[in-house]
Amino acid sequence: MLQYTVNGKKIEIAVKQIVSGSDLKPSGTVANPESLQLYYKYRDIENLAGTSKAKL
Amino acid sequence: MPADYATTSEIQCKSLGMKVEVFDPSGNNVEHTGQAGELVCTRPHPSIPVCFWGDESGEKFRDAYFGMYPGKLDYDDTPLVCAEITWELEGVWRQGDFMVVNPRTKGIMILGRRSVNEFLSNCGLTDTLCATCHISDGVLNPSGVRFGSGEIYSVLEQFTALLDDSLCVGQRRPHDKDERVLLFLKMRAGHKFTGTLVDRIRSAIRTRLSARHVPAFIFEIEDIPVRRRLIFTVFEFYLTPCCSTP
Repeated sequence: MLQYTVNGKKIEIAVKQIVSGSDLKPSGTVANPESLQLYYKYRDIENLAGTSKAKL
Repeated sequence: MPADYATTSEIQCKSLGMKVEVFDPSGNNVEHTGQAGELVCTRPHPSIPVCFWGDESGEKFRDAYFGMYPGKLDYDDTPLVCAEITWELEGVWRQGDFMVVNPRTKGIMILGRRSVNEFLSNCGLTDTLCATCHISDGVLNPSGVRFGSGEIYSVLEQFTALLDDSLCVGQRRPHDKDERVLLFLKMRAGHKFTGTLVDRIRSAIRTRLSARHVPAFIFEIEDIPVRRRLIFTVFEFYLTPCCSTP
């Protein structure tokens, strides 16, 4: 039986690509691929920063 | 194995064929100063991977290892030829860990990313060193200031009571002239993401690093993507009965 841990490294490169405008297919080694969806909205950061709870 | 004495926590010498040096963020060799710095390899070495799987342009690979110290190296050695591949590095190989050479013994200690501050604050040369090795941080380059996200994570360590995790990345969309740094924070249960916290973090980064390290935006995020890691333990390897399901 193969075991996985979820205390792996955080994935900066995928998030960097997402917020910089590339769409990407998460690789099979992402433990929580659904989390990547959270980052797409930060592409439109100017609008987001004006309205959301983000503190600048 | 070198025929030399061994010191606790230290690697006795550099591996054969590895031109290992210690660089500060500007690319100066600080190997003989006893300062911690980036573990770099300034010559091609036999164990350089050919590529990352699926990274056809080679961009991820270059970014991961050669992004911090780019540029052709000026050395006269004959390039390493291995089968049909001639290695000519596109910069200095940066492993992504901190290391320090003990000036007295010349022994090498690999510090990883996160334990380096513990190390520096304790300033003893043993004990804390084997703790955690993170080869995680990417290169940030806002307005031409180059640094690693690990530097930000190190500052955030003082907020671990409040923060579950954090992610620091550069953003540069096709129409952006420059890169900006975004910091995402995942709060621990029961703790709120507040303006006060953001101000404290900004001020800590400004004090411990510089004003130019302060992220352009700090956001709360519910989750941070992590890599699944395959583990084999020695126990499983030797003691799992042969009839167990594969």
